[in-house]
Parts: sequence; structure tokens; C-alpha cells
Amino acid sequence: MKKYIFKRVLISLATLFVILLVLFILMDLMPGTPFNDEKLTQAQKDLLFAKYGLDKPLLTRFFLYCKNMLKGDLGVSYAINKNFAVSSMVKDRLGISIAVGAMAMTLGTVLGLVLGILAALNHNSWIDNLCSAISVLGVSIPSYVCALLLCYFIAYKLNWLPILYNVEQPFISLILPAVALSVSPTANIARFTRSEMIDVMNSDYILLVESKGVRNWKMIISHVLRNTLIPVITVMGPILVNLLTGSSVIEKIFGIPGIGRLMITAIQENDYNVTIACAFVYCVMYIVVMLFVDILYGVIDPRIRIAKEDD
Amino acid sequence: MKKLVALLLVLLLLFGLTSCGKKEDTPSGGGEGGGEVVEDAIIFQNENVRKAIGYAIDRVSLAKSLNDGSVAAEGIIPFKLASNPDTGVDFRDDQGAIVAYDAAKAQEYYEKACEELGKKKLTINLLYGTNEGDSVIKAAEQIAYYLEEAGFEVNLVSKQKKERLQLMDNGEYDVALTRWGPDYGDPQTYMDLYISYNTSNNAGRYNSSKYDKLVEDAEATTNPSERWDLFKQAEKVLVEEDFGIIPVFQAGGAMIIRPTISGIQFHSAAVDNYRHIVGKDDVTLITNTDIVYLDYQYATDGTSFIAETLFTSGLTELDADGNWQLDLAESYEMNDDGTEYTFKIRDDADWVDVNGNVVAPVTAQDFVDAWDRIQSEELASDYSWWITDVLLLKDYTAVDEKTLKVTLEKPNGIFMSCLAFPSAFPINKAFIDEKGDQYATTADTILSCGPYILDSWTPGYSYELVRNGKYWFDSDYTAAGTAKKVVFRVLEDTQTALMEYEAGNIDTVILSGEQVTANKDVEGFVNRLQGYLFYLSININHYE
Repeated sequence: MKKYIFKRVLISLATLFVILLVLFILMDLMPGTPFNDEKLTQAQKDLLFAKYGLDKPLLTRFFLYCKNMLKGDLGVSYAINKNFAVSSMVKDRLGISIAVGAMAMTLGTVLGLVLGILAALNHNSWIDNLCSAISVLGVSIPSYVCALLLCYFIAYKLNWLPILYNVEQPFISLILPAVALSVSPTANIARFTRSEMIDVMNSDYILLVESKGVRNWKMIISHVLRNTLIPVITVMGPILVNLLTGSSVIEKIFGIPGIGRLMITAIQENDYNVTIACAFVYCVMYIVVMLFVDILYGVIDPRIRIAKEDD
Repeated sequence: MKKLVALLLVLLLLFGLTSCGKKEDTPSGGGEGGGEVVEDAIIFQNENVRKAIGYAIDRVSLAKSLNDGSVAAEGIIPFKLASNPDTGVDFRDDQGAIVAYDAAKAQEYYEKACEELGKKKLTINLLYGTNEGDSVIKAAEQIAYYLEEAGFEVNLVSKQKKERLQLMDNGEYDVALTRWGPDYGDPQTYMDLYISYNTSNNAGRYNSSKYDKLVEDAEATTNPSERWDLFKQAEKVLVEEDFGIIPVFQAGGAMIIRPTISGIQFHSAAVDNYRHIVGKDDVTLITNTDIVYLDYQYATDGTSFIAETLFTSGLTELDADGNWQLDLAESYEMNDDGTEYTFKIRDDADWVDVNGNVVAPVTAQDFVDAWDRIQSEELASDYSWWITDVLLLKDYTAVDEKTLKVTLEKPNGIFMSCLAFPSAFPINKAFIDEKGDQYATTADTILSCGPYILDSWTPGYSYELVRNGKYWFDSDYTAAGTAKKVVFRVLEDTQTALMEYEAGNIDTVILSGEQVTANKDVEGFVNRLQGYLFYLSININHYE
């Protein structure tokens, strides 16, 4: 297992390096520059290019960036908050996005599992139909519609929660965005759990367990759920990364200074360093979560553990 | 083996990407696919093509349908930019409308152009920005409609703003919907743009020696009335005779301001003044963009400038009517021909830190340092030309601690009002040197010499300003009941902003689209005219 994890970490690091290079090249191909501004003259643009070292060849810039990155320096912003250290910009905003994302993920997982299990246990009954209807609705309603509805009824009409994000009461003001964000993961997890669980319950080994007289909750928890969770965890990985890296739409609606919005603005403004940093953070999180999911597989499923040890 | 394959794939991907990029760089003929491709650019040298475009657009209907307070352009100089030095009449009223909508004429010119060029159909690729506001997208679609009515075939080419500007810089466009926001209240801010050798702004390379001469003469003369007349003639040559650019509309801005507060002063040709808000101690305003840079010598955007005029001051300030009043200058003297000014800086003008403690007095040397720094190559400021081209400063010296003497190239009617712009504000050099790279990145790395102190700034979220008790005017502010705290909340979404406003948590809200119609009769609804003039830039001579 240790060898396996070590190998996986090495591959992850190599992947990240390649991703960074690709990002750099993509950035170079992006039309326009951070300094396209009707108020700037050509001479000033040249000065700015020289000032930020953008006139150097791509590879020189890349290795300089890598060197600085190891020191924790991600460069400065060219357009969004000029001359700001990107590391601090990303750090501040990532924290908020992770907070909302984690809240939404917790909510989505709990609700999704409950709905899915309920539906599977009551297969083909009205409960199943109701749960399925909720899932379909959840998948099809865009998060911004949900966000605006919540804002209007819960916050504006009933005045139970604040409409906008507020730094002074982060938890309370992040409830609505988290709920809005959790709708789609809830639905996805519920649908997946339901179908997997129905499959597992119809399998031979469960029939055997049942025939041996192990019944109800004990069987469901230690035999059915355990086997259901493996595929569910696979879908949860990407969902988690998606939530943690921020939703630009939700952040816009609730006025949350998160990383999703930052990335969109950075792309629009051609703010190279900010775009690279945001995209890179996204990739790091994705790879870390996938690594974690892989390791978790082994813990949950002995078959995978053994196969990995052989590898 | 697997790794080798993976490596190969990555290399292939990289190679593919690089070659894609190269293809885009070389403009080629043929309209399909690459929308930015210049098709028959040469057609725009034909005057009748440009006339057809000019006459085709029903500007009044277009502005009306934008529904945000925008008005039809009557020339390239916007309304409320500058007034006649002798009569005080607005430039626009003085000149009158020099553009017109005439569908029949447009068709006539279109047919004439087709004949002259030997073509059956003329195609225009209309470039516009997708992230420059709803009104730009709506306007571009309508312009396309009007041009089609006249006979043209129109392809809409939508790009992000930065890319649009890059394409215009490269000359890779036919016709582009673009804009210019005036930097100061004088026709020169527009007229300079289309001089044949201004390659930074004259994207279409409009080239008229007649126009060049008129503008050069206007800028050289010391007689304000003559200057005014020359600019009027120049605008006529550019817009009415040559159709070198096609003015379309002047931007508006709809918002609601809580009826209990007042004192926000909007200026269409200068920075809006938020220094005199009364009616509430603690005001929260909505801004849809954040501060870009706190260093007012480096900033270029309206949002930054508005905040910066709150926490810093210059020698003068603009009042509600746009006239200058003395601010940090207590008095001034001017020589007879208006080329030498001596300012006496207030004894009670001080630099104050984030905690409200006095750090140093504001001295004459602070202005000298500021004007040196903004022009330095090291800073690479976008507004370095403010000192030389707008203020027309030839020389400036600190006679003593509080006396500043400046010499101008020639008399300058807008000199005193342009001192009220952040690019002319003083700096505290010792503080900047001490902070180094950290200067102006947070509230505690900037000093205040204005009516407010920047108390905090959370990028992407809000910035808060509190009254500066050490400011020379502060006791009068207290007497007038001026807001003690002004908070700007960054919020892009207008729907939640409107809810927040109705819930009473914020005091202004910017409206867009249908919200404007829905809230027209709400108390506090304001439809302000902005300085931005949107026009069609035509690529007349800018291609290989």
C-alpha cells in the first residue's frame, strides 16, 4: 500500500508539472494581453511588458515562474488588483470558496444518501417515485434559479437569513449559497446511490446473507451500503472539487469574494498570473481529491487493496 | 510503455496548440470560420461606403431602446463635456447635430458604393465586446439590423474586450463598436484621438491633413475662442465631411439612490464626487467593480478614482456644477497672461495614516515629487501625460514648504479644474520609499490627505471610508451633516442588489435591463448621463 501511494504521489507531481506547462502555453496563445486598454499608448504597453518581464521568451518565463512558485511566490496581478501578490489574492478567496463548498458538500452528501437509500429500500413504491422526482428536479434546475428563489423567499420575504454574504457573520450568510449549491450534488448522489443500491440488493451475495438470516439494518449497513459506496465515492470526487473551487454564478449572486469569480474575471482581463494560479489550484485540488478517492477505495474494498498491493 | 504513450500524447497536444495559435496570427481572406478576418478592407476607403453606414443608423430609436438613459450621439463630442469660453453654451448645443439618420440616403450611397467598387454586395464584419455591458451587445445587434436595412451583409463578431482592443490595434477588423471616456472637460480629449499619427487610438488610421492641421492649430493657439472654433471645425471635418468615424450613442446609467440621502455629484467629464453625501451617518453604496489600484498615480478606472478622490485631495476640487473650488490650496496668484501660478498650500493640510494620526504636513515638495513620479519611466503610469498634455506644465518648484510655483507652456483654460483629478494629487515620498513594493496594496499602506480615510479594503468584497477628522474642512462637514462612514460594497448581480436595497440594507442600486422599466417610477430613480461616447471605428487605412 505504501509503495502504491508513493508511486501515485510521484505521478501526481509529474502531472502537475505538465499541467503547469500547458497552462503557460495556453496563456501565451490567448488573444490580447493584460495591457489592452484604450488609455494606454504603445510605448507604455512596451514599458509594462518589460517591467513585468513578459518580453522574455516563453520557456525562460516558465522556469522563472516554477522557481518562484517553489518559494511560494505566484507573481503579481496585472489587471484585477494591479501589483497585488497573486498568492494572497488566491489564498483569501479560496478560503471562502472552500467554506461554501464544504457546507454544500456535507449537505448534498447527507441529503443525497438519505434520499437514495430511502428510494432503494422502497423500490417501486411512492417514496421511490417522490425521491426520483426530487432528484430529477434537482438535476434540472440551474443553481442560479435556485439561488434567486431562495434569496427572494427565505431572505427577502421571510427575512430569516441575510440576502448577501457578510464577512461579519460568515456562517449565517453562507447558508443560502450552500443550500443553492447543494441542490445538484444532492440529486446526483441520490440517483447514483439509488441505482447502485438496487443492483447490490439484487446480487447473489446479498441473497446469501439474507438466507443466512442476517436481517435489516445490520445487513444494509455492513453489506449493502459498503458495496454501494464504492461507485458513489467515484462520482463524489469530481463533485467535491467542483464545489470547493467555487461557483462563479453563486458567488456573483450573493456577492461572495470567492475563487470562481476571480478566475472568470482573470480570464476576461487576461490577467495571466491570476488565471494560471486559479487553474493550477483547481488542478491540484482535483488531483489530490482523486488520489484520496483512490486510497479510500482500498480502505473500503479489500479486492482493490489486494490488487494494488500486487501492482 | 504507458508513460511513453502519455508523454507522446502530451507533446502532440502541445504541438497542436502551437500550430493552431500560429494560424490565427496570419489574417487571411474568406469570411467563414474566423470572424475577425478582414474582408475586402479596401472598401472602407470608399467614402460612399462610410456615408451609407453613417446615414443607416437610427440613433434616436437605438438609444431609446437601450432604456438606460443613453442618448443619441449628435457628434463625437458628448453632451455636457465642455462649454463655450465666451458664451458658456455646451459644445454640443453650440455645434448642433452633425450626424443624421436617413434610410433613403443610406441606400442610395450603398448602391453608389457598390457600383463604384464593382460589387453586388458589400459585407461588414462588425466587431464588438461581449463583456462591456448589456447596452453594447444590444446596440451592436441593432446597428447590424440598420446596416442590413441599407443593403449591407453584416457578420457580428463578438469578442472579449481585451481581444477586441488587440484586434483593433492590429488592424484586424472592419468596423468596431468602441467607446471613449473623456479624461477632462475639453474637446481635445476626443480630437487628439484621430490625428493621423496617433497610432495608439486612431485604430482605423483615419488620415486627413486638413483635420490634423485644425487640431494642431487649436492646440497651439492661446486664444480660447479661436481654439473653440477650430475644434468645432475639426469635428465637422471628421464626422460630417469625411465620415471618418460614426458616432452612435452617449451612455446613460440608471440607478436608485435612497431618497433620504443626497449630495452625490455626477460629472460626465470628470470623476464623480462622493465627498458630500448628507442625510445619513453610515452610507452603503453599491459598486459593480472593485478598486483596481489604490495608487492614484497608477490607477486608470473610474471606480478607483472615485475612491481615491475621497481619501486624497488636490489643489482644487470640482463642485456640483463642475466648477473648481480651492481645496488643499488656500490661495493662488496668476500672472497676467495666465502662464504662471503660485499656490499657497493650507497650513492645516496634513498626511494622515489609517488610524487617523498625523504623519506629516502636506508640502509644496509633495506636489513636485508627485508630478515627477507620475512621469517616471519606472512607474509606467497610464496617466503620465496628464502633467504635460493636460495641465501643460513646463516647470514646477517648491519655493518654500507651503508655496508651489508652476509655469505653463501656454495659458490653459482647464488648468485649475484638471488639478482636481487624482493624477495631479500630491504624494508623500518618504512613506512610499518606506513601504516599497507594499505601497498602496492595503488600507494601512496608503496615506490620506482628503476628507475621508480608507479604513479597510477587502478585495472583491468591500472598501470602507471614514471621515478624516484632521481634514481642513472637517468641522464644516460635521455642521453640514456629511456622512461619517461611506461603505462601497462590490456586487455584480443587480437582482440581489435590488432586494438588498428594498430590504433597506444598502442605499444605492445600479439597474440594468428590465429593472429600469420596472423601477422608473420608484422614488430616488436617477437616469444619469455618462461621458462615454460609443462610436463605430472604421478601418479605413489600417491593414497590410
